[in-house]
Amino acid sequence: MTTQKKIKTLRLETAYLETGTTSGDLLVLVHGNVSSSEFFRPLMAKLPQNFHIVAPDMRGFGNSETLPVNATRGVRDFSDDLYAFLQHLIEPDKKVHLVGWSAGASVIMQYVMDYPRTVHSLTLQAPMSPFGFGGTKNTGIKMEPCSPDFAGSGGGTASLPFVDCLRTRDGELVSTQPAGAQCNVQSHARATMNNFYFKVLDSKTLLQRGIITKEMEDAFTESMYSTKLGDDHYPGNVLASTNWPFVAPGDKGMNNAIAPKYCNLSNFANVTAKIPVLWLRGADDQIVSDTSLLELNYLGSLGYVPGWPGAATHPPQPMVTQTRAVLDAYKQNGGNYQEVVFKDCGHSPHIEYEGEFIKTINTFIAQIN
Amino acid sequence: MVLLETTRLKLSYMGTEDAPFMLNLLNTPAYYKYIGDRNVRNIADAENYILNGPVKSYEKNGFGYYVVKLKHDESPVGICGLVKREALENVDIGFAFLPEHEGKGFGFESASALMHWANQTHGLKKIVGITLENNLPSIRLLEKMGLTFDKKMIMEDEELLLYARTF
Repeated sequence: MTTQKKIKTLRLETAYLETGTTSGDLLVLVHGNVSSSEFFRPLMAKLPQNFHIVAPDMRGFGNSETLPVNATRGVRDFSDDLYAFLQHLIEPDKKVHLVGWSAGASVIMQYVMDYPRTVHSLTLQAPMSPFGFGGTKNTGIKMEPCSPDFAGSGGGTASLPFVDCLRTRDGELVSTQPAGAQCNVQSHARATMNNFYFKVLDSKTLLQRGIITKEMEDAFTESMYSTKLGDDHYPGNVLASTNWPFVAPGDKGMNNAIAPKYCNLSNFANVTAKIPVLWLRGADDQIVSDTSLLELNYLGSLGYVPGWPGAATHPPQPMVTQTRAVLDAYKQNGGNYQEVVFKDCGHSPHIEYEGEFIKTINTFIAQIN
Repeated sequence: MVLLETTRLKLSYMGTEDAPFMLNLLNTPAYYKYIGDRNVRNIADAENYILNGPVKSYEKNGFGYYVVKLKHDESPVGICGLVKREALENVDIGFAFLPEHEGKGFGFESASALMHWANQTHGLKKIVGITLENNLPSIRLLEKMGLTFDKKMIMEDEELLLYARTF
């Protein structure tokens, strides 16, 4: 039975979903941007119940406390929140398995970099690039920004109509935004989820294919609406830039925390505790991809962002390639990882292919035990 | 000859050497269902189709249908192009992909690049797309490219949806 609880740490009052056996090894599920623990609720009921399964809401998401995100710390506000939270649950003789999804994968990578000896395995599902979202072009492990001020990443890269759809619950509430920034049908949270979070297969959504129920689709959409909006939260503040596309990261809020100016996880390759890593991703993920539909260089290359300077200086960010580069370096340094790619799958293997996801993660954790 | 390159794809002018590929593409179930049977049954038919369709259009309009190929191995995955029809005031954009290459964003990547090329190179201020009402993948792609529903229309005894975008 999955229940919602709260733990007040010195950092954050953290809401979380909990199921399984409280005396078991911890299995911690960490969500990413514009989502919350609710995206894990169906999975949690199906995972082996001998684990102590918890899914916390990150600050500013779901039902956790709304505190500002100091983006200059990269994703450390989130990883430190997670550490404080887990101190209330960890038992000395029990293992800790971290599962992070998208930007949540970056959070657990940062966690391992800062608290390496407290974790027994790491599952990165559709992980954001170790070099953050937008604004870089390197294919190797040394970060190369497209512009010195990291233009093309940060709070200014979010779609304003999408932000307004979160604000107005897909147009249920009256918009107070200027015309170009108003919610429209294509930008609805529900549409964004069905078209981008999940892969549309045979022109059918997950609901139409019977993979999720209407109640689940509604709960996931509510979870997206729970994202706290503003400069301190999502998407964060924006600096004007003289470099294309003329927006650079600010110092506050979610999208700046995952901007390469502040988020560089390439040092994960040098983590001394060699924790086994499972890298899971959908073959047709359109969010984290070498041709991401949410990344401005790629959209620029297709003509949607005027003035794109060209592939020589502004190629689409090779997100998957960057993750592979860092994990290969981790391997060279004595660590190990395995990559599992789900066919016909988008950004959410744990929902799109729940059964295979559970099988894969069980096999992985069994190898460790 | 290559017209355009994108991150993963190139759009090449179509020629009779593409006949085997076109024979295959024009006879997939999706092509029959959403576009129609072009009565292309053998290589000779396909060559005629290419010469009387795309090649003629290149000469007449300066644009037409192009073969979309993967950059890394040159294998053809679909077609994407611009057509000037008698029945329509504006140039319309279209695409078709082999079933095994659907759902990879190739349609969006090729059609988006072509649409902006048409705007910049030919100065087209309005681009339209026509589709059957039940062709949801096509409708979704047109919407993703910024085209919006304009009206229903009848063409060759078929009811079609007209989508449009102005620049």
